[in-house]
Amino acid sequence: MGTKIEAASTSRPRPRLGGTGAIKLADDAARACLERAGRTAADIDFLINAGIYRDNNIGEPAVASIIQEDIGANPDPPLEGGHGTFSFDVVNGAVGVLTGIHILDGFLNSGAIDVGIVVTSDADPERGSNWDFPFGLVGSAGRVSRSGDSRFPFAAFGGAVLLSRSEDENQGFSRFAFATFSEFKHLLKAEMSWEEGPIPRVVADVVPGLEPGRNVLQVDQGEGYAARCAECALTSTGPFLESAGLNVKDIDLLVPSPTPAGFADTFSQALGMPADRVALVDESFARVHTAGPIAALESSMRTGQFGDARNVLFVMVGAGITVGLALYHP
Amino acid sequence: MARERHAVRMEHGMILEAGVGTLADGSPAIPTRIESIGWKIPERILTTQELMQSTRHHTHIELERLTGIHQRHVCSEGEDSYTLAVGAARDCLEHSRHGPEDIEMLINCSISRYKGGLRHQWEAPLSLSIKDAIGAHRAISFDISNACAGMMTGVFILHDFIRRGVIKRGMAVSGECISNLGQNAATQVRWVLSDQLASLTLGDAGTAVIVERTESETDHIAVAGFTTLSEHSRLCLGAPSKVGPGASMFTKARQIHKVAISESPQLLKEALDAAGFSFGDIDYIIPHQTSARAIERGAREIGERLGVQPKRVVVTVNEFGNTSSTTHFVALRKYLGEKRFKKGDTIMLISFASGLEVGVMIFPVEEILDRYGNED
Repeated sequence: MGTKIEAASTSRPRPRLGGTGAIKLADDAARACLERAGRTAADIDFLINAGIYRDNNIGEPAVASIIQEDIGANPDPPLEGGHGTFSFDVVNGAVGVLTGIHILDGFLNSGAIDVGIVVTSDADPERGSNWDFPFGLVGSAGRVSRSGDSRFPFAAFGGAVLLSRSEDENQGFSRFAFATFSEFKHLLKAEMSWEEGPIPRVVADVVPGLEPGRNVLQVDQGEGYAARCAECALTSTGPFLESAGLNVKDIDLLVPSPTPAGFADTFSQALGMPADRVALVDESFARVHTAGPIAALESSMRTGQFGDARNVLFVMVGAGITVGLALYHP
Repeated sequence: MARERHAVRMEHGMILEAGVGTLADGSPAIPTRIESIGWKIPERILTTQELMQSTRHHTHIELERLTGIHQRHVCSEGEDSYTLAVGAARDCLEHSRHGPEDIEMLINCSISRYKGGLRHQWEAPLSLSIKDAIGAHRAISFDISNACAGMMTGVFILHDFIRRGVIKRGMAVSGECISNLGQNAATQVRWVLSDQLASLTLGDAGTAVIVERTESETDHIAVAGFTTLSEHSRLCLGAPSKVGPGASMFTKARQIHKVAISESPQLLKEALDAAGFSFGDIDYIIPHQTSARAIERGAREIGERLGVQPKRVVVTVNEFGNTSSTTHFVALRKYLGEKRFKKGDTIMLISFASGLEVGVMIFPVEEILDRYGNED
């Protein structure tokens, strides 16, 4: 009895003034995923959001709870005979989706839940503001829009993957492993800190008591990040396959992180995986972040590679450097 | 077998995992317990009187009378979320039978993730820096974010991994450096109905907890559970501030309190039933610490709904303020240090957090008391 993937879906920004915020992207991906699986939002017992860059950079509440409300996953207090939904955020860089799947796999295997969903999205926090927030300095009222910050390096994407328990003991996830290489922690850094600067008069007039400056998000990716990711992933994959009693030839499909650019090619070649057994994404996903693994999964499901495989190896990399590995049997 | 369990679960509003029972495949769940608790409290104290004297406007708010908060501890130069978390993790390890290399999973659960001053770290995860600092090199690590329910959510995740036998022990840790929200609010609050009033109640603290597998038939977590009443997800929002360094928080506190009190009794009863307890069996209720007045009023109203008044309700907010995700474990660590518990006392943690998250955990205190000098 394992945890099976029912459906996966990605989302892209809708054409609208000012762009689409991360929350709407996650909402769209979750709804598309549910539709693809033939489920309703009320079926969801557990919702984990793994996105990093969100509307207004909000830290509270968990973005997952907002998504839960938006898609209608049992937002009301449970009624007699019904069930509620629990939601929170995982923050683990571009490996966050796999961490979320790992957690849901646990609650599915314990019998505490029947259906779980991992959603994720990233968007430039300054372009994508949630206009539904009811507070002046967070939401639309009184907020002064700024143009997008050119330093934000990721493209806006959402993703969702729906999981449930399989009655077939040979189907689903069979093994997870995570490893960190903190000597490369500096190669991908994202921080939000106060940057001194003038206050626009229009703001100073409306909101007195301001300090001159603003909180600014700074994302820095160092040179050689993709190559180091490939090395770390290679170091981790050998022992992982060995512990499962498998070797590379037994892997029918490799689902690698599509980013950082160059990682998937470098890693799959170093591992010795033929190109036709690697799930790749098209160029439009070139700057995808946390939704990357779902984009690769969706792509392989669309081509039929995923369904035809016996052993699927997920290899995810993210800041840390963190490597996440999982073995799946469709 | 699976269908029977499914039918039972569907009667619940909460996702519940009892201490004993079976897993989905029919195998027995492994009991878990809280093995050690640590904290790091900044030395500097800011009284409510001092804070209210610093407001930009003449607010005429009697915050101490309204909330019962006399003071809070606040970070000084060189202290932040990271240093508080590391300090708490070290205190936790000092009271534990385990060393850092024994920790198999480390979850950072704080909302604030400041490192190197008020620099909020989105990537790499702060848990990685914490596990490096304490030497927990074998641990799987990641961050979670679940508002003031973060630490309890971290313990819930560890409980799940341990009871399935995936790991033997893990640590949940949080360093909340949030007094800067109070400083930012002090420039904005004008009157008692301000949506930033709750920011003036915040204090800084770090906590850590080790959860481990146990073979004890009594000394184990009896039940842990959560649900999210997300129709109220937008009642409290925190984000990087637009008025100064750090963050700002906007809260409809009265609505949150009203919802928490009206919806929680049924959910608490579900958890109590799953653990085989009644509300009267609980020796210490530890709710999320927002305001002494709100806690006392809420406990009384919940007691009325459940038909029995709680024996003891722990209040530490008067001394520490609202320390967000760490409040339950600040209270536990304080009571352990002061030897206030007796062996066999049953504790119930109740979380009400933005989201709106409702969480419950019920467990006895037995073996843990020995490591805090309790001779009872």
